[in-house]
Amino acid sequence: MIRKMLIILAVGAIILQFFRGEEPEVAEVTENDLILSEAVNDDVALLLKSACYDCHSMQTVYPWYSYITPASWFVFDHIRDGRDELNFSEWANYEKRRKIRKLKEITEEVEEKHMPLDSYISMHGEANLSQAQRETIINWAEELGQATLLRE
Amino acid sequence: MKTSITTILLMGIVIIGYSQKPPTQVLLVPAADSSQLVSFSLDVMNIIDAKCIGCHAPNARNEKARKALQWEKLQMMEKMDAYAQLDEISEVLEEGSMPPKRMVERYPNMKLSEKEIAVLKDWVSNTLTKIEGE
Repeated sequence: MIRKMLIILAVGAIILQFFRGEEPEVAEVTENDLILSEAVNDDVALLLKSACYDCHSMQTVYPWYSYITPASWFVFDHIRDGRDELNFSEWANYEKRRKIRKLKEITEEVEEKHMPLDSYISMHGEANLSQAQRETIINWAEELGQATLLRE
Repeated sequence: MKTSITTILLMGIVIIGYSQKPPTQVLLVPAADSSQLVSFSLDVMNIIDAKCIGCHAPNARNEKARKALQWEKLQMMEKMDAYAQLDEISEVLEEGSMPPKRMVERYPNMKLSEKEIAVLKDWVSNTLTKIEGE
């Protein structure tokens, strides 16, 4: 009886693999990228790349579990939603007011620990930002916000 | 005349539907008071009163709406915060996502007309220009 169920589950899992879902595209860094266009310093750039860029840029690195359905569905959803909300690869194309708003939201989300997502942190140790690292990002975002406001 | 009756009726629906408390006394500053960073012409005030303030006021029931935007607070915001808020307003106008779908399905009159969207968009860009100039 149990053997029968296990076989059915195994077959189901295999069939599921044919429905991995559409992988959001990955692209090379362009001059529109945040780090390039805003000359972000190395410390902050490293934090952003480790903890944010997988979902909030076109330079996603797909982990092993994203090749397994149904985990793939969640990963792809995160990436699509993340890029929709904020895409660092498109930073230079954002209007000034959009940049200011997004920088403000970054400080809020990072401060409140909504971002990075807990599920992402559980699989990516380097995204487990310390309080000091969070403050680094927040200070950077606040400064850049002020600077952007003063621009043309 | 017709417009003000409609406005009153719509306000009535929103107030009855969304608050048992007395309506918010929102002090929207008319454009004439240019000392304010953010101010509203009568046109804009009418739209906001009719279609927005029910949820986007301090004593509104919907917590998400209260957190996202409160019109009376917008007037007192610092430059950067106002900038960010206006960007969000312009985005929802662009996407047509406000008032929320469920609200519009229940009360079709609450849907923003093309003209109202245009008026609000104009107001957003004028206000942004004003803030820039400060």
